[in-house]
Amino acid sequence: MNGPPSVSAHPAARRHLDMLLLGCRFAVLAIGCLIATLPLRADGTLVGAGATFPFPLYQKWIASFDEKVPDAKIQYQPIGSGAGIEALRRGEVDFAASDAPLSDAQLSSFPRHVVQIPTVVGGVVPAYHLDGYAGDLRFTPELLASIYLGTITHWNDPRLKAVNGALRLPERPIRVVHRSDSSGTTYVWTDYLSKVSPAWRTMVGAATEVQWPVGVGAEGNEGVAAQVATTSDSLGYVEFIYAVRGHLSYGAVRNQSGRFVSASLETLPEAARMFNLLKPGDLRMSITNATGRTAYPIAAFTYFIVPQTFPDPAKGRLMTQFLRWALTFGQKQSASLGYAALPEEVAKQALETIGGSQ
Amino acid sequence: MWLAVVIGKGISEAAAPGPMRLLHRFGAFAMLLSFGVAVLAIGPHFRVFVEPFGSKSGAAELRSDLVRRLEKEPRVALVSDPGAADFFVSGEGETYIKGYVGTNPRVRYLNGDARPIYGGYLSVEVKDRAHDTVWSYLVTPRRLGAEDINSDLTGQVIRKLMEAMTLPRGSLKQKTSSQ
Repeated sequence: MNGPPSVSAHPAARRHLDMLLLGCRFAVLAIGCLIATLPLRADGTLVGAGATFPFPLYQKWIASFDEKVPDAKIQYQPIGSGAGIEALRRGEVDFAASDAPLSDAQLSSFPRHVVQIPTVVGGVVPAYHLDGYAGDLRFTPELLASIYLGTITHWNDPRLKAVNGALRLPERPIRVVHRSDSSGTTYVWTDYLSKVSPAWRTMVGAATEVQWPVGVGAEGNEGVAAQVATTSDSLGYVEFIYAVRGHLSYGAVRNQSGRFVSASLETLPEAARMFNLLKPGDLRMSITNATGRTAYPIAAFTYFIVPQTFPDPAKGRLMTQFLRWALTFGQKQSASLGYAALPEEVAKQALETIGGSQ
Repeated sequence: MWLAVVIGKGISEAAAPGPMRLLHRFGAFAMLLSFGVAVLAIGPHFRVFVEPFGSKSGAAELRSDLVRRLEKEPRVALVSDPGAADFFVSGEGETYIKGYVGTNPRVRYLNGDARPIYGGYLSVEVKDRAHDTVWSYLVTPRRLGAEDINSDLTGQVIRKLMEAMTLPRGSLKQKTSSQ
Protein backbone atom coordinates (compact mmCIF):
# COMPACT_ATOMS: atom_id res chain seq x y z
CA MET A 1 0.00 0.00 0.00
CA ASN A 2 1.40 3.37 -1.01
CA GLY A 3 -1.14 5.65 0.59
CA PRO A 4 -0.27 8.21 3.29
CA PRO A 5 0.70 6.63 6.59
CA SER A 6 -2.22 6.38 8.98
CA VAL A 7 -1.71 7.92 12.43
CA SER A 8 -3.32 4.95 14.05
CA ALA A 9 -0.76 2.76 12.37
CA HIS A 10 2.13 4.58 14.18
CA PRO A 11 1.80 4.73 17.99
CA ALA A 12 4.91 6.94 18.32
CA ALA A 13 3.53 9.50 15.85
CA ARG A 14 0.19 9.48 17.64
CA ARG A 15 1.93 10.17 20.99
CA HIS A 16 3.70 13.14 19.43
CA LEU A 17 0.46 14.42 17.94
CA ASP A 18 -1.33 14.07 21.31
CA MET A 19 1.49 15.99 23.04
CA LEU A 20 1.29 18.69 20.38
CA LEU A 21 -2.51 18.99 20.74
CA LEU A 22 -2.22 19.14 24.53
CA GLY A 23 0.41 21.87 24.24
CA CYS A 24 -1.83 23.83 21.87
CA ARG A 25 -4.77 23.54 24.29
CA PHE A 26 -2.63 24.86 27.17
CA ALA A 27 -1.38 27.70 25.00
CA VAL A 28 -4.94 28.68 23.96
CA LEU A 29 -6.08 28.48 27.60
CA ALA A 30 -3.16 30.61 28.78
CA ILE A 31 -3.76 33.24 26.08
CA GLY A 32 -7.49 33.25 26.95
CA CYS A 33 -6.72 33.78 30.64
CA LEU A 34 -4.28 36.56 29.78
CA ILE A 35 -6.86 38.33 27.58
CA ALA A 36 -9.53 37.99 30.28
CA THR A 37 -7.32 39.68 32.86
CA LEU A 38 -6.28 42.54 30.59
CA PRO A 39 -8.39 45.71 30.72
CA LEU A 40 -10.66 46.17 27.72
CA ARG A 41 -9.32 48.62 25.17
CA ALA A 42 -11.35 51.16 23.27
CA ASP A 43 -10.36 54.55 22.04
CA GLY A 44 -12.76 57.41 21.65
CA THR A 45 -15.28 59.63 23.35
CA LEU A 46 -19.04 59.23 23.41
CA VAL A 47 -21.43 61.96 24.44
CA GLY A 48 -25.00 61.13 25.34
CA ALA A 49 -27.92 63.17 26.64
CA GLY A 50 -31.50 62.73 27.70
CA ALA A 51 -33.58 61.18 30.45
CA THR A 52 -33.09 62.19 34.08
CA PHE A 53 -35.11 59.09 35.15
CA PRO A 54 -32.11 56.67 34.87
CA PHE A 55 -29.40 59.31 35.38
CA PRO A 56 -28.16 58.11 38.83
CA LEU A 57 -27.60 54.64 37.37
CA TYR A 58 -26.02 55.85 34.12
CA GLN A 59 -23.59 57.92 36.19
CA LYS A 60 -22.61 54.79 38.09
CA TRP A 61 -22.37 52.71 34.92
CA ILE A 62 -20.14 55.23 33.21
CA ALA A 63 -17.82 55.39 36.24
CA SER A 64 -17.60 51.58 36.43
CA PHE A 65 -17.09 51.20 32.68
CA ASP A 66 -14.37 53.83 32.84
CA GLU A 67 -12.49 51.66 35.37
CA LYS A 68 -12.66 48.68 33.01
CA VAL A 69 -11.93 50.60 29.80
CA PRO A 70 -9.47 53.31 30.80
CA ASP A 71 -9.07 54.77 27.30
CA ALA A 72 -12.79 55.32 26.80
CA LYS A 73 -14.53 58.54 27.72
CA ILE A 74 -18.30 58.57 28.02
CA GLN A 75 -20.25 61.63 29.09
CA TYR A 76 -23.96 61.82 29.79
CA GLN A 77 -25.99 64.99 30.24
CA PRO A 78 -29.36 64.63 32.04
CA ILE A 79 -31.31 67.27 30.08
CA GLY A 80 -34.61 65.39 29.80
CA SER A 81 -35.76 62.79 27.28
CA GLY A 82 -37.20 65.26 24.79
CA ALA A 83 -34.13 67.49 24.71
CA GLY A 84 -31.86 64.45 24.43
CA ILE A 85 -33.78 63.10 21.43
CA GLU A 86 -33.65 66.51 19.74
CA ALA A 87 -29.89 66.74 20.40
CA LEU A 88 -29.43 63.34 18.75
CA ARG A 89 -31.61 64.39 15.81
CA ARG A 90 -29.41 67.46 15.30
CA GLY A 91 -26.28 65.33 15.57
CA GLU A 92 -25.03 67.15 18.68
CA VAL A 93 -24.66 63.95 20.69
CA ASP A 94 -23.72 60.36 19.89
CA PHE A 95 -26.66 58.76 21.67
CA ALA A 96 -29.82 59.75 23.53
CA ALA A 97 -31.73 58.25 26.44
CA SER A 98 -35.48 58.29 26.95
CA ASP A 99 -38.14 56.60 29.04
CA ALA A 100 -40.63 57.16 26.23
CA PRO A 101 -39.86 54.90 23.27
CA LEU A 102 -39.93 56.64 19.90
CA SER A 103 -43.06 56.17 17.83
CA ASP A 104 -42.89 54.99 14.20
CA ALA A 105 -43.48 58.58 13.05
CA GLN A 106 -40.62 59.89 15.23
CA LEU A 107 -38.35 57.11 14.00
CA SER A 108 -39.05 57.87 10.36
CA SER A 109 -38.39 61.57 10.92
CA PHE A 110 -34.82 60.87 12.11
CA PRO A 111 -32.15 61.75 9.55
CA ARG A 112 -30.41 58.42 10.21
CA HIS A 113 -31.63 55.03 11.35
CA VAL A 114 -31.64 54.57 15.15
CA VAL A 115 -32.26 51.57 17.36
CA GLN A 116 -33.85 51.60 20.81
CA ILE A 117 -32.23 49.48 23.47
CA PRO A 118 -34.01 48.99 26.81
CA THR A 119 -31.57 49.29 29.71
CA VAL A 120 -33.42 48.87 33.04
CA VAL A 121 -36.84 49.17 34.66
CA GLY A 122 -37.73 52.00 37.01
CA GLY A 123 -40.79 53.20 38.85
CA VAL A 124 -42.48 56.58 39.04
CA VAL A 125 -43.87 57.34 42.50
CA PRO A 126 -46.38 59.91 43.74
CA ALA A 127 -44.18 61.89 46.14
CA TYR A 128 -45.73 64.28 48.64
CA HIS A 129 -44.89 66.77 51.34
CA LEU A 130 -47.43 66.90 54.13
CA ASP A 131 -46.09 68.54 57.26
CA GLY A 132 -47.00 66.61 60.37
CA TYR A 133 -47.93 63.43 58.47
CA ALA A 134 -45.24 60.82 58.67
CA GLY A 135 -47.39 57.88 57.61
CA ASP A 136 -47.60 56.42 54.12
CA LEU A 137 -50.50 57.56 51.97
CA ARG A 138 -52.47 55.36 49.61
CA PHE A 139 -53.68 56.42 46.19
CA THR A 140 -56.11 54.78 43.82
CA PRO A 141 -55.61 55.33 40.07
CA GLU A 142 -58.80 57.44 39.99
CA LEU A 143 -57.50 59.64 42.83
CA LEU A 144 -54.24 60.38 41.03
CA ALA A 145 -56.07 61.22 37.81
CA SER A 146 -58.58 63.42 39.64
CA ILE A 147 -55.85 65.32 41.52
CA TYR A 148 -53.92 65.97 38.30
CA LEU A 149 -57.16 66.90 36.47
CA GLY A 150 -57.92 69.38 39.24
CA THR A 151 -61.19 67.77 40.31
CA ILE A 152 -59.77 66.82 43.70
CA THR A 153 -58.25 69.95 45.17
CA HIS A 154 -57.86 69.36 48.93
CA TRP A 155 -56.05 66.78 51.01
CA ASN A 156 -59.12 66.14 53.14
CA ASP A 157 -61.30 65.24 50.13
CA PRO A 158 -63.61 62.38 51.20
CA ARG A 159 -62.30 60.20 48.35
CA LEU A 160 -58.74 60.54 49.67
CA LYS A 161 -59.89 59.97 53.24
CA ALA A 162 -61.79 56.86 52.18
CA VAL A 163 -58.59 54.99 51.29
CA ASN A 164 -56.49 56.53 54.07
CA GLY A 165 -58.89 55.85 56.90
CA ALA A 166 -56.45 56.00 59.79
CA LEU A 167 -54.98 59.38 58.83
CA ARG A 168 -56.57 62.73 59.62
CA LEU A 169 -55.66 64.55 56.42
CA PRO A 170 -55.47 68.37 56.54
CA GLU A 171 -58.03 70.77 55.15
CA ARG A 172 -55.46 72.36 52.89
CA PRO A 173 -55.14 72.62 49.09
CA ILE A 174 -53.04 70.09 47.20
CA ARG A 175 -50.19 71.87 45.43
CA VAL A 176 -49.64 69.83 42.28
CA VAL A 177 -46.14 69.69 40.80
CA HIS A 178 -45.35 68.39 37.29
CA ARG A 179 -42.49 68.52 34.84
CA SER A 180 -41.97 71.67 32.80
CA ASP A 181 -39.64 70.08 30.23
CA SER A 182 -40.24 67.39 27.66
CA SER A 183 -39.89 64.33 29.84
CA GLY A 184 -39.96 60.56 29.61
CA THR A 185 -41.05 60.45 33.25
CA THR A 186 -44.06 62.58 32.24
CA TYR A 187 -44.72 60.11 29.44
CA VAL A 188 -44.77 57.19 31.93
CA TRP A 189 -47.02 59.12 34.34
CA THR A 190 -49.49 60.26 31.66
CA ASP A 191 -49.41 56.86 29.92
CA TYR A 192 -50.49 55.34 33.23
CA LEU A 193 -53.21 57.95 33.84
CA SER A 194 -54.49 57.49 30.29
CA LYS A 195 -54.84 53.76 30.88
CA VAL A 196 -56.71 54.11 34.17
CA SER A 197 -58.82 57.21 33.54
CA PRO A 198 -60.97 57.73 30.42
CA ALA A 199 -61.34 61.41 31.42
CA TRP A 200 -57.56 61.85 31.46
CA ARG A 201 -57.18 60.01 28.16
CA THR A 202 -59.76 62.29 26.51
CA MET A 203 -58.73 65.60 28.06
CA VAL A 204 -54.95 65.31 28.37
CA GLY A 205 -53.55 62.08 26.91
CA ALA A 206 -50.10 60.53 27.08
CA ALA A 207 -46.98 62.34 25.87
CA THR A 208 -43.64 63.69 26.99
CA GLU A 209 -45.24 67.16 27.14
CA VAL A 210 -48.93 67.77 27.84
CA GLN A 211 -51.26 70.68 28.61
CA TRP A 212 -51.45 70.33 32.38
CA PRO A 213 -54.89 71.21 33.78
CA VAL A 214 -53.34 72.26 37.14
CA GLY A 215 -50.03 72.60 38.94
CA VAL A 216 -46.62 74.20 38.70
CA GLY A 217 -43.74 72.93 36.58
CA ALA A 218 -40.18 72.00 37.51
CA GLU A 219 -37.32 70.82 35.36
CA GLY A 220 -36.00 67.28 35.56
CA ASN A 221 -36.66 64.62 38.21
CA GLU A 222 -34.30 66.49 40.48
CA GLY A 223 -36.26 69.72 39.99
CA VAL A 224 -39.60 68.09 40.82
CA ALA A 225 -38.08 66.37 43.87
CA ALA A 226 -36.68 69.69 45.09
CA GLN A 227 -39.99 71.48 44.45
CA VAL A 228 -41.91 68.86 46.45
CA ALA A 229 -39.32 68.90 49.24
CA THR A 230 -39.59 72.66 49.65
CA THR A 231 -43.37 73.09 49.13
CA SER A 232 -45.72 72.16 51.93
CA ASP A 233 -48.85 70.24 50.89
CA SER A 234 -47.38 69.39 47.50
CA LEU A 235 -47.72 66.27 45.37
CA GLY A 236 -45.44 65.46 42.45
CA TYR A 237 -44.18 62.46 40.51
CA VAL A 238 -40.56 61.36 40.39
CA GLU A 239 -38.51 58.27 39.68
CA PHE A 240 -38.23 56.06 42.79
CA ILE A 241 -34.55 56.76 43.61
CA TYR A 242 -35.13 60.54 43.59
CA ALA A 243 -37.81 60.11 46.28
CA VAL A 244 -35.64 57.74 48.32
CA ARG A 245 -32.54 59.91 48.24
CA GLY A 246 -34.51 63.15 48.56
CA HIS A 247 -36.18 62.08 51.87
CA LEU A 248 -39.59 62.34 50.21
CA SER A 249 -42.61 60.40 51.35
CA TYR A 250 -44.18 58.46 48.52
CA GLY A 251 -47.49 56.71 48.31
CA ALA A 252 -48.64 53.20 47.60
CA VAL A 253 -50.76 52.89 44.46
CA ARG A 254 -53.60 50.42 43.98
CA ASN A 255 -52.76 48.01 41.16
CA GLN A 256 -55.04 46.05 38.85
CA SER A 257 -55.43 43.24 41.36
CA GLY A 258 -56.70 45.70 43.96
CA ARG A 259 -53.60 45.76 46.17
CA PHE A 260 -51.95 48.93 47.37
CA VAL A 261 -48.34 48.50 46.30
CA SER A 262 -45.27 50.67 46.92
CA ALA A 263 -42.35 50.82 44.52
CA SER A 264 -39.57 48.44 45.56
CA LEU A 265 -37.17 45.86 44.16
CA GLU A 266 -39.86 43.26 44.73
CA THR A 267 -42.74 45.04 42.99
CA LEU A 268 -40.85 46.59 40.03
CA PRO A 269 -39.49 43.27 38.67
CA GLU A 270 -43.00 41.85 39.02
CA ALA A 271 -44.25 44.62 36.70
CA ALA A 272 -41.30 44.05 34.33
CA ARG A 273 -42.22 40.39 33.98
CA MET A 274 -45.54 41.48 32.46
CA PHE A 275 -43.83 42.85 29.36
CA ASN A 276 -45.42 42.06 26.05
CA LEU A 277 -43.41 42.40 22.87
CA LEU A 278 -45.45 43.81 20.00
CA LYS A 279 -43.30 41.86 17.56
CA PRO A 280 -39.95 40.06 17.80
CA GLY A 281 -37.07 42.53 17.80
CA ASP A 282 -39.27 45.55 18.57
CA LEU A 283 -38.39 46.33 22.18
CA ARG A 284 -40.77 49.26 22.67
CA MET A 285 -42.99 48.16 25.52
CA SER A 286 -45.35 49.70 28.02
CA ILE A 287 -45.66 48.00 31.41
CA THR A 288 -47.77 50.65 33.15
CA ASN A 289 -50.86 49.27 34.88
CA ALA A 290 -49.32 45.76 34.81
CA THR A 291 -51.50 42.86 35.82
CA GLY A 292 -49.19 41.06 38.29
CA ARG A 293 -50.57 40.48 41.78
CA THR A 294 -47.85 42.51 43.49
CA ALA A 295 -46.77 44.51 40.42
CA TYR A 296 -46.11 48.19 40.96
CA PRO A 297 -48.40 49.84 38.40
CA ILE A 298 -46.34 52.90 37.36
CA ALA A 299 -43.23 51.12 36.07
CA ALA A 300 -41.39 51.54 32.78
CA PHE A 301 -38.47 50.40 30.72
CA THR A 302 -36.00 53.14 29.93
CA TYR A 303 -34.04 53.18 26.66
CA PHE A 304 -30.84 54.17 24.94
CA ILE A 305 -31.49 55.54 21.46
CA VAL A 306 -28.47 54.78 19.33
CA PRO A 307 -27.66 55.37 15.66
CA GLN A 308 -27.40 52.10 13.78
CA THR A 309 -24.09 53.15 12.26
CA PHE A 310 -21.48 55.71 13.29
CA PRO A 311 -19.40 57.65 10.76
CA ASP A 312 -16.43 57.11 13.09
CA PRO A 313 -15.91 53.32 13.44
CA ALA A 314 -14.06 53.79 16.76
CA LYS A 315 -17.16 55.43 18.26
CA GLY A 316 -19.33 52.63 16.91
CA ARG A 317 -17.09 50.03 18.54
CA LEU A 318 -17.10 51.88 21.86
CA MET A 319 -20.89 52.28 21.78
CA THR A 320 -21.35 48.55 21.17
CA GLN A 321 -18.88 47.73 23.91
CA PHE A 322 -20.62 50.02 26.41
CA LEU A 323 -24.07 48.70 25.54
CA ARG A 324 -22.92 45.09 25.89
CA TRP A 325 -21.37 45.93 29.27
CA ALA A 326 -24.54 47.72 30.41
CA LEU A 327 -26.76 44.79 29.38
CA THR A 328 -24.60 42.24 31.22
CA PHE A 329 -22.36 43.53 34.03
CA GLY A 330 -24.29 46.79 34.37
CA GLN A 331 -27.51 44.91 35.11
CA LYS A 332 -26.02 43.66 38.37
CA GLN A 333 -25.48 47.22 39.57
CA SER A 334 -29.01 48.39 38.77
CA ALA A 335 -30.60 47.22 42.03
CA SER A 336 -28.15 49.26 44.12
CA LEU A 337 -30.04 52.33 42.91
CA GLY A 338 -33.53 50.88 43.02
CA TYR A 339 -33.84 49.94 39.34
CA ALA A 340 -34.88 46.44 38.32
CA ALA A 341 -32.71 44.53 35.86
CA LEU A 342 -34.21 43.65 32.50
CA PRO A 343 -36.10 40.36 32.28
CA GLU A 344 -33.81 37.71 30.78
CA GLU A 345 -35.72 37.52 27.48
CA VAL A 346 -35.63 41.29 26.99
CA ALA A 347 -31.89 41.48 27.79
CA LYS A 348 -31.26 38.66 25.31
CA GLN A 349 -33.17 40.40 22.53
CA ALA A 350 -31.46 43.70 23.32
CA LEU A 351 -28.06 42.03 23.01
CA GLU A 352 -29.11 40.50 19.69
CA THR A 353 -30.18 43.96 18.49
CA ILE A 354 -26.75 45.37 19.34
CA GLY A 355 -25.09 42.50 17.57
CA GLY A 356 -26.96 43.43 14.44
CA SER A 357 -26.73 47.18 14.81
CA GLN A 358 -23.01 47.83 14.60
CA MET B 1 -15.23 6.29 61.80
CA TRP B 2 -17.93 8.26 63.64
CA LEU B 3 -20.57 6.39 61.72
CA ALA B 4 -19.01 3.08 62.77
CA VAL B 5 -19.00 4.14 66.43
CA VAL B 6 -22.64 5.22 66.25
CA ILE B 7 -23.62 1.93 64.60
CA GLY B 8 -21.56 0.09 67.20
CA LYS B 9 -23.36 2.01 69.94
CA GLY B 10 -26.70 0.91 68.49
CA ILE B 11 -25.62 -2.72 68.65
CA SER B 12 -24.03 -2.56 72.07
CA GLU B 13 -26.75 -0.35 73.69
CA ALA B 14 -29.32 -3.12 74.00
CA ALA B 15 -26.97 -5.12 76.19
CA ALA B 16 -25.73 -2.16 78.29
CA PRO B 17 -27.06 -1.44 81.82
CA GLY B 18 -29.17 1.78 82.53
CA PRO B 19 -26.45 4.40 83.34
CA MET B 20 -24.23 3.04 80.61
CA ARG B 21 -27.10 3.34 78.12
CA LEU B 22 -27.45 7.01 79.09
CA LEU B 23 -23.73 7.49 78.63
CA HIS B 24 -23.89 5.84 75.22
CA ARG B 25 -26.74 8.11 74.18
CA PHE B 26 -24.84 11.18 75.35
CA GLY B 27 -21.77 10.00 73.48
CA ALA B 28 -23.77 9.44 70.31
CA PHE B 29 -25.35 12.89 70.60
CA ALA B 30 -21.93 14.53 71.11
CA MET B 31 -20.57 12.72 68.09
CA LEU B 32 -23.49 13.77 65.91
CA LEU B 33 -23.05 17.34 67.10
CA SER B 34 -19.35 17.33 66.29
CA PHE B 35 -20.14 15.78 62.91
CA GLY B 36 -22.57 18.64 62.19
CA VAL B 37 -20.00 21.23 63.24
CA ALA B 38 -17.40 19.54 61.06
CA VAL B 39 -19.76 19.61 58.05
CA LEU B 40 -20.33 23.32 58.59
CA ALA B 41 -16.59 23.88 58.86
CA ILE B 42 -15.96 21.98 55.62
CA GLY B 43 -18.73 23.93 53.77
CA PRO B 44 -17.84 26.95 51.62
CA HIS B 45 -16.36 29.85 53.54
CA PHE B 46 -16.20 33.40 52.31
CA ARG B 47 -13.66 35.93 53.38
CA VAL B 48 -15.52 39.19 53.28
CA PHE B 49 -14.22 42.73 53.48
CA VAL B 50 -16.81 45.34 54.40
CA GLU B 51 -15.98 48.77 53.03
CA PRO B 52 -17.04 52.05 54.69
CA PHE B 53 -20.66 53.03 54.00
CA GLY B 54 -20.07 56.75 53.47
CA SER B 55 -20.67 59.70 55.71
CA LYS B 56 -24.42 60.20 55.51
CA SER B 57 -26.47 60.28 58.70
CA GLY B 58 -26.80 56.77 60.14
CA ALA B 59 -24.48 55.14 57.57
CA ALA B 60 -21.91 54.05 60.18
CA GLU B 61 -24.64 52.48 62.34
CA LEU B 62 -26.05 50.63 59.34
CA ARG B 63 -22.59 49.28 58.56
CA SER B 64 -22.05 48.18 62.19
CA ASP B 65 -25.40 46.41 62.21
CA LEU B 66 -24.65 44.60 58.96
CA VAL B 67 -21.18 43.61 60.23
CA ARG B 68 -22.79 42.24 63.41
CA ARG B 69 -25.13 40.13 61.30
CA LEU B 70 -22.32 38.91 59.06
CA GLU B 71 -20.28 37.90 62.12
CA LYS B 72 -23.11 35.57 63.11
CA GLU B 73 -23.04 33.82 59.74
CA PRO B 74 -21.06 30.56 60.13
CA ARG B 75 -19.78 30.62 56.54
CA VAL B 76 -18.50 34.19 56.63
CA ALA B 77 -15.09 35.21 57.87
CA LEU B 78 -14.71 38.98 58.01
CA VAL B 79 -11.24 40.17 57.09
CA SER B 80 -9.56 43.51 57.66
CA ASP B 81 -7.14 43.11 54.78
CA PRO B 82 -8.83 43.75 51.40
CA GLY B 83 -6.13 41.64 49.74
CA ALA B 84 -7.37 38.57 51.60
CA ALA B 85 -11.03 38.95 50.67
CA ASP B 86 -13.13 36.80 48.35
CA PHE B 87 -15.94 39.36 48.34
CA PHE B 88 -16.14 43.08 48.95
CA VAL B 89 -19.33 44.46 50.44
CA SER B 90 -19.85 48.15 49.82
CA GLY B 91 -22.85 50.14 50.86
CA GLU B 92 -24.54 53.46 51.01
CA GLY B 93 -27.25 54.30 53.46
CA GLU B 94 -29.00 56.94 55.41
CA THR B 95 -31.51 57.09 58.24
CA TYR B 96 -33.50 60.03 59.51
CA ILE B 97 -36.62 60.85 61.48
CA LYS B 98 -39.57 61.51 59.15
CA GLY B 99 -41.86 62.63 61.93
CA TYR B 100 -43.52 61.56 65.13
CA VAL B 101 -46.75 59.83 65.99
CA GLY B 102 -48.54 60.31 69.28
CA THR B 103 -49.19 57.16 71.25
CA ASN B 104 -52.31 58.51 72.93
CA PRO B 105 -55.25 58.88 70.50
CA ARG B 106 -56.97 61.34 72.87
CA VAL B 107 -54.11 63.82 72.70
CA ARG B 108 -54.27 65.93 69.52
CA TYR B 109 -50.76 67.33 69.96
CA LEU B 110 -47.44 65.53 70.23
CA ASN B 111 -46.18 65.10 73.76
CA GLY B 112 -43.21 63.36 75.34
CA ASP B 113 -44.68 59.95 74.55
CA ALA B 114 -44.58 60.57 70.81
CA ARG B 115 -42.83 57.86 68.85
CA PRO B 116 -40.46 58.71 65.99
CA ILE B 117 -41.10 57.35 62.52
CA TYR B 118 -37.91 56.72 60.62
CA GLY B 119 -37.15 57.03 56.98
CA GLY B 120 -34.06 55.96 55.11
CA TYR B 121 -32.56 53.38 52.85
CA LEU B 122 -29.72 50.92 52.57
CA SER B 123 -28.03 50.11 49.28
CA VAL B 124 -25.58 47.20 49.23
CA GLU B 125 -23.30 45.95 46.49
CA VAL B 126 -21.13 42.82 46.43
CA LYS B 127 -18.03 42.68 44.26
CA ASP B 128 -15.72 39.76 43.58
CA ARG B 129 -11.92 39.71 43.53
CA ALA B 130 -11.90 41.15 40.03
CA HIS B 131 -13.99 44.04 41.41
CA ASP B 132 -16.91 43.10 39.20
CA THR B 133 -20.32 43.59 40.78
CA VAL B 134 -21.93 40.21 41.36
CA TRP B 135 -25.04 41.42 43.19
CA SER B 136 -26.69 44.55 44.50
CA TYR B 137 -29.87 45.56 46.28
CA LEU B 138 -31.63 48.51 47.88
CA VAL B 139 -34.13 48.42 50.70
CA THR B 140 -36.35 51.01 52.37
CA PRO B 141 -38.06 50.68 55.77
CA ARG B 142 -40.55 47.85 55.71
CA ARG B 143 -42.46 48.49 58.89
CA LEU B 144 -44.06 51.84 59.51
CA GLY B 145 -42.49 53.36 62.59
CA ALA B 146 -40.00 50.56 63.12
CA GLU B 147 -38.35 51.01 66.51
CA ASP B 148 -34.98 49.98 65.15
CA ILE B 149 -34.52 51.27 61.62
CA ASN B 150 -31.00 49.79 61.34
CA SER B 151 -32.22 46.33 62.23
CA ASP B 152 -35.17 46.67 59.83
CA LEU B 153 -32.95 47.61 56.87
CA THR B 154 -30.04 45.21 57.50
CA GLY B 155 -32.47 42.41 58.33
CA GLN B 156 -34.01 42.76 54.87
CA VAL B 157 -30.61 42.68 53.19
CA ILE B 158 -28.70 39.94 55.03
CA ARG B 159 -30.59 36.91 53.73
CA LYS B 160 -30.39 38.05 50.12
CA LEU B 161 -26.73 38.97 50.56
CA MET B 162 -25.87 35.52 51.92
CA GLU B 163 -27.76 33.89 49.03
CA ALA B 164 -25.77 36.00 46.59
CA MET B 165 -22.42 34.92 48.03
CA THR B 166 -23.42 31.27 48.42
CA LEU B 167 -24.66 30.74 44.88
CA PRO B 168 -22.18 29.41 42.35
CA ARG B 169 -21.10 32.16 39.95
CA GLY B 170 -23.07 30.74 37.02
CA SER B 171 -26.35 30.62 38.93
CA LEU B 172 -25.62 34.04 40.40
CA LYS B 173 -25.44 35.53 36.94
CA GLN B 174 -28.71 33.86 36.07
CA LYS B 175 -30.41 34.99 39.26
CA THR B 176 -29.27 38.59 38.93
CA SER B 177 -30.34 38.89 35.35
CA SER B 178 -33.80 37.60 36.14
CA GLN B 179 -34.37 40.02 38.98
